[in-house]
Amino acid sequence: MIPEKERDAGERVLRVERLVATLLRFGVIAAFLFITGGMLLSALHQPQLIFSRAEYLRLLSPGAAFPRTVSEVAGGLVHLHGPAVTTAGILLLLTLPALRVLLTGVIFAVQKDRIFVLITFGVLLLLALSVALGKIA
Amino acid sequence: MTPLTFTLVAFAVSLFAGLLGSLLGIGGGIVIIPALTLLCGIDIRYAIGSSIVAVVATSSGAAAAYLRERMTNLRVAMVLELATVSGALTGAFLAGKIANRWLYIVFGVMMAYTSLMMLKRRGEEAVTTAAGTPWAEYLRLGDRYYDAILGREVAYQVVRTRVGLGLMYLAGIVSGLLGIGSGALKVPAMDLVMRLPLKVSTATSNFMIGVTATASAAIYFHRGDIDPFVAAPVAAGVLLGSAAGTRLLHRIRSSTLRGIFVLLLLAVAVQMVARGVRG
Repeated sequence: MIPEKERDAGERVLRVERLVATLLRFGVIAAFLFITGGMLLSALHQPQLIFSRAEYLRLLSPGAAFPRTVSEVAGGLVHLHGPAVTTAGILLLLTLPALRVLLTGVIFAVQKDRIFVLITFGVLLLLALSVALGKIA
Repeated sequence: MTPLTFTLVAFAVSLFAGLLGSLLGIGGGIVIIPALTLLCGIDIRYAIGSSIVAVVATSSGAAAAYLRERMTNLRVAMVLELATVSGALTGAFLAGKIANRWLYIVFGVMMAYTSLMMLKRRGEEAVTTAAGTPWAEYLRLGDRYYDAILGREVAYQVVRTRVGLGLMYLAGIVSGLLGIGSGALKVPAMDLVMRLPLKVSTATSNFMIGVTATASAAIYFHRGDIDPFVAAPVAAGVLLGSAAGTRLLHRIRSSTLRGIFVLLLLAVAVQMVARGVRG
């Protein structure tokens, strides 16, 4: 027999895990819609260009224009600018694994598992450090 | 090539890369980078930028399913992630100080050897050790997963945690230095050394590569290496492919999966040695 207290904790963890899975699923679907929606908007903007070889070469040329900062993405989103909508989807996608680590930390906290809360915190800290160092270099 | 044909080609290739990635616990760069550069004439910079987005997409596309089915061992993933990220940081510092040429050859040979070791264990369905070692016991790394092929729950223990940590640190250094093959190193370390079931190893590697790639992706975006025109069809294809891959992982035998993984390792090994020899 499993003690009642332990079973309750187990069910609580399972509930949190299901919540994390659902949250991730919504995040992935939203990112997918933004990415494909942005592609569609770009195509609809000048439909004849999707068959143009010259346009392909222009898109690939060095210095081709596309949003490179979060504020450029936000600015383009307001005007339903295709590349900005797509980049917003990509950025949403990129936040998901970090979110997943954060929520895993929450699961460990619910389990009152101090060592793993610390380990998760350490992973997040190292990730933040590598991003920070990357920006300096 | 026109924008339309590029989009279709990149999407189709990425669909396949996502399927392979979620099954084998790898990012899919081995498929995506050559396809984009050689087939479509994309600049290597944007090809790498897109492939890092693809790693995150593979991981996220498979995440919800593997998490719900308890295929991913989150405890193992977190412990090993400490070593991988430290390794990647070390690799970034070592970059330029070590001749990559020899590294490619050394690791290419190591990968070829690993593929032989994995081949030796072909025919194993889900063989698990009965007892974990003290570190694994202390960290409670053992778990269970439901294997649809065997039609039963498989309980497993974990051994040689510290050797696994060391190998993950090394895998992190290699991927930090050479920018490739981190998943292809992680899966054998979990499977051969720590004796996790193969399916759990690939699902756990899938989770880990996504986490590490997020940090790199932030840096690549900041540098302007993520071109939405190139990355969009890649991300869309990989997301769909990896979601399909999670369904396939249930239906595939571990021994078949092992066979595919051996072939992948050999391909990576050949690619690395060739790059080292060419210099």
